Amino acid sequence: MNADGTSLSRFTPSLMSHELLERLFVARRKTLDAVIARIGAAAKTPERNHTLLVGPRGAGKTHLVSLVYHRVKNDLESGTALQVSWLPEDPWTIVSYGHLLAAIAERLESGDQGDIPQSPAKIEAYLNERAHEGGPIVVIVENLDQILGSLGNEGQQQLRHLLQADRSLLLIATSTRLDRSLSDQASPFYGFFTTTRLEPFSVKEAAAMLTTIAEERGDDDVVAYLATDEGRARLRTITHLAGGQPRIWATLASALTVAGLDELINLLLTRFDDLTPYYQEQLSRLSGQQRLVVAQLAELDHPINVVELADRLGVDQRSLGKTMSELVDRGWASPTTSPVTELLDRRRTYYELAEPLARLSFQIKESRGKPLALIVEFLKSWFDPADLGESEVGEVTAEYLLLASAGHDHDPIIAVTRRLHRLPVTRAPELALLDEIDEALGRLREKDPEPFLQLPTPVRVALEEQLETPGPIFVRVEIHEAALGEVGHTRHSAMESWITRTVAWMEASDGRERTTAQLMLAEWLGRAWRFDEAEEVLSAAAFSFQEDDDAVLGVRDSLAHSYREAGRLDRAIPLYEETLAICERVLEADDPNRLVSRNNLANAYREAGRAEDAIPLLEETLAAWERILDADDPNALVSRNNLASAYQDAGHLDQAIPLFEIALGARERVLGASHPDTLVSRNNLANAYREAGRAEDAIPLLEETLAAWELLLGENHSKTLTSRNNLALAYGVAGRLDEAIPLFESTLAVRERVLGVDHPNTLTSRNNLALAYGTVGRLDEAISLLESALAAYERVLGADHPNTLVAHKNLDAYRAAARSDV
Amino acid sequence: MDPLLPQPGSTIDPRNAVGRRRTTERARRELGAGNNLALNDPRRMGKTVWLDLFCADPGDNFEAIKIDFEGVRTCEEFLVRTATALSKHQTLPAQAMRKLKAMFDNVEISGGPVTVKVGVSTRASTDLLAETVRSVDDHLDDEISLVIAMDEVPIAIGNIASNEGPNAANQLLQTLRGLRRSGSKLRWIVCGSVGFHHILRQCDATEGVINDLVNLPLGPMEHDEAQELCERLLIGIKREGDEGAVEALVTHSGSIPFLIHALAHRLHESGTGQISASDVSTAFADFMDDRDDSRAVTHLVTRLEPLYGERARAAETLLDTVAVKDSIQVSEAGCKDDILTDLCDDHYLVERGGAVRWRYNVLQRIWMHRRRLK
Repeated sequence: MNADGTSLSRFTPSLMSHELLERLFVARRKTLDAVIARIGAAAKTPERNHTLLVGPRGAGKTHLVSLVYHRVKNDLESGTALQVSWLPEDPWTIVSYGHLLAAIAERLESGDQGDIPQSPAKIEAYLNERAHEGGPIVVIVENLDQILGSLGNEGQQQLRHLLQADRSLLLIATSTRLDRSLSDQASPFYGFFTTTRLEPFSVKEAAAMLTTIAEERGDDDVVAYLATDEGRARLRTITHLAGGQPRIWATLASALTVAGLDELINLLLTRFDDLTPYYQEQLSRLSGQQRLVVAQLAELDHPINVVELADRLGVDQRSLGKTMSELVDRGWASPTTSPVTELLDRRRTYYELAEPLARLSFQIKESRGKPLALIVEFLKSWFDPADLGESEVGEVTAEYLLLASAGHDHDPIIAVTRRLHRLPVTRAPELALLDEIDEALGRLREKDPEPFLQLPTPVRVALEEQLETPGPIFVRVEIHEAALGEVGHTRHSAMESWITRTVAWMEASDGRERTTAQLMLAEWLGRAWRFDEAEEVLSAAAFSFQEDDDAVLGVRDSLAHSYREAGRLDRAIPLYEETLAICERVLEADDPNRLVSRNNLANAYREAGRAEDAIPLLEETLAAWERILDADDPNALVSRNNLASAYQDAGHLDQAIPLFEIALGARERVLGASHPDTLVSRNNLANAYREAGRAEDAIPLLEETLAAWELLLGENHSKTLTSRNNLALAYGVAGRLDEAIPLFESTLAVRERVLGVDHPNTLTSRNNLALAYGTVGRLDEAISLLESALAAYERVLGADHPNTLVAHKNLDAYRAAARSDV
Repeated sequence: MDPLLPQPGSTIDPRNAVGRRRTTERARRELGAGNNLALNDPRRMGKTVWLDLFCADPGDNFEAIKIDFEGVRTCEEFLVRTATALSKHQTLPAQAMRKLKAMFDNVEISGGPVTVKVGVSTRASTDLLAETVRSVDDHLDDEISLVIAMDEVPIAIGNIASNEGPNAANQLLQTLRGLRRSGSKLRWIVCGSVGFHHILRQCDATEGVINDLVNLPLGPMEHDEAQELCERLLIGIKREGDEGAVEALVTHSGSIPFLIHALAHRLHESGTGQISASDVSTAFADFMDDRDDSRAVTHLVTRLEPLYGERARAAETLLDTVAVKDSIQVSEAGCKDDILTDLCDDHYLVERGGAVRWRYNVLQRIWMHRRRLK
């Protein structure tokens, strides 16, 4: 509630004071000034420059005309020769020319009105007389399109004649659309008004409005936040939901913090309840085919062309073309505005719902008391995953939050949109959508914008912004990098389509773009474990770069990582060493890239069983991070964790455990309990406890970690599998083998399927299950597993690899035990 | 140079009307020579503005009254509209006013409305109209000619044909023709944007009822006047134009005042600062791409169906052909002669030396854009 007793979020201009309306008015001052200037001219000259403001419901028309009204009233007080008559917003009772004249006369706000005559001709004369005495009458008339529709052609002619011949009235009108009565050449009011379309609010304008409202509420934190890049980015994610409508933005202003969620949901539901009868009444005026089209547009999350729409609806294209044209005229549909539409065949137009909020009329009908999708969309877009889980809210709101939170887990559109707007990412898998986007960007490069236009609207809009700045190459790289982050460094069937597209991209481009595509191709080939091809492409690309170019070093590093994942430490380590050597030659001692490179090499040493080589590198790295960064900086935390792991590998658990405990404490404090990095830390500490013989301390941590990974990434993700394996190991150490064995079995089965039978992690699983079998006396099964594991270790890691040696030792032991049993 | 604010439609202050000096001179000449005029350019070409401008300053020895007939549905309303306008004319001879008072109530009071007195209401409206007009003519000063500028006459005639039948409309046209023929001190300007040929067909009349009128073409503005309008509008919207901006505005608008105002309005709303020729080109392209705005300037597209009925498709095809080829021989038109004739009468096309082309380049371009022709 505002100081003057008006609820800002309900935003009903007719109930607000002049001063408050002035303070909240943003973005359209130029339009207001122009209207006021026309009124000023009418007061002094015979000029009657009638105004028409066109915009959908909630576009701010009433706010603007309310200000016109107040300003005219102020002018009247200062003696200007004007009068004002503000007709009711919903003109249901104005059904003829006579009714219109009567309404103008009845609402004329000046002096004694006397008796208002009955017949139209007499009221015309009455109004002329009044204007003659007191100056022209400024008539504020909302929903003019509806009134003109009621007047019919002859009534419109009479009105136009009155306006032209007598010059007693000056209309300041609003309309939701420019329908036939305002735009057909045969119509009396064709081209009559000076028309201004109230364009949807841009993000900047919306920010200005929300800032003003926040200032009015005294909410300084929100004011400051809206001025930040992140605040603007967050606004961009919800622009497509608000449809650029100030009234909806004003409503949203009530809940820019979690604390306001209850109020927001309540307000939105009320607002939507208000709007729904309007939309449904408008819908009932449409023909059957028109309604079907509108329903289809409401259901889709992207624009559509007539051909595809005809196909979906099973109707004739020609008749649908006419229907679309009618729906555009009636304000239900609009051609999509996108910078890429200029590439379209001129006969091909993409359409979308003109007012996003019209979806409500369908959603409310179908919701049957369930939460409204539009509100859930807003929550998913505006709030971060962490925000939604930690608020105390009412029952209805809780239901919405639950759905929004589930959306964060599963909705790729919101995940990609937030990523493109540089907001904290959500947990939903994005790969399939990223694949679609890359395909669309590739086709767009070939001047075919259609797949791009068919992308989900929020994603498309976010991409359009990025295509403008920083540009198409950057956007494509960003999409590839996001996809690379999704697939990791383990061979994956989805990689082939990326490789194919990247080859096409490279072949179609030249200069800097070509080398960029080339590097990306090297990266993908490495991820797919097509190492020889990757090395070849990388060498070719590297010719175009300096040896120490960040991009090249990044790909080399990634390639080495892929080697590691593939168990090819023999190639990973030299590559890491070479990269570090370059970094040491060209970068300062504390340069972050140099530190990262050293860290990576150390980890590879660890994996190769060379913990003692790794430890000095990691100690040096941690010291450098702590020197240049805060102790809680993520880079320092990773480094501390790695050093602890190296201590653990080297058997120095007394040094490892305190470091793991510090790292976990810091991550819980900085990142939160459910952050992936926190889970990694918790897992590492638990493993160290296990190795130190403290299985009972380890098990609760590992159970908690596994549950969190399953929720975050699903049951088959490599991190989940590692976690399951670790829990099984801890159960084993604690003697709870009946719980350990099923976990080992399921882990091995999934790894064989997902990673392949020879992958190092699969081999680890096989080894671990064999040990568990052996412990419970199932020696035949243990030996069989170890034999196959050992053969694979020798093949993949080599005969001297520590894992190979351990497997060998285990197998010998079980064979001996089996013989002694016999 | 005084600033002007864009006003694509509505009712302007005649003092702010720019140009049309040659049209005004020609009108004075024709009227001085005893001719009556027809002004039937397409809508939004500036006819009403010119009528206001002319009536505000009709020239030496002329007085002028403008009567707007829009919304008139019956012969009686036509009569009342005429009487009301005449009664408001400040220098109407006293005898003429007495005559009006004898026939109509409320002619002297500003509270109106003017109505036909019961005593004469049984007489035909066309007879009363003739009597009213003649009473004015009879009492005018010998030195003065009174110009009656009738706006939107075809709309009124069309309404009357619909409401009272073709005969009533025809009778009214005959009466007006008779008045024009007989009036010695009266001069007439008959104005309307709906082509008379369509209305005559609607009320079974022939060209004979209007063929006494001399056509006064308005068309686009003269180049220097269009420049003046553009310059004043740019001053009005506080956006100074560079060297090429004014010329670009004139060129893109085809010197059609409505388009000049509409473009200036768009430029006013779309930004601030100096305007270049390229800004004007962008504004014009945006204007044509904008469905709502382009409909407002491509009125010719929406006009065909109501007036051409079943012939609309053939007419559109012919317009497409001429637009794409720029000019064709009449023999190539490939449609009935009446369609070509109507398209010329409606100002879409112009026929010269056996060849047909679009009358206005700018409308040709807009038509092509709207119809997506290449």
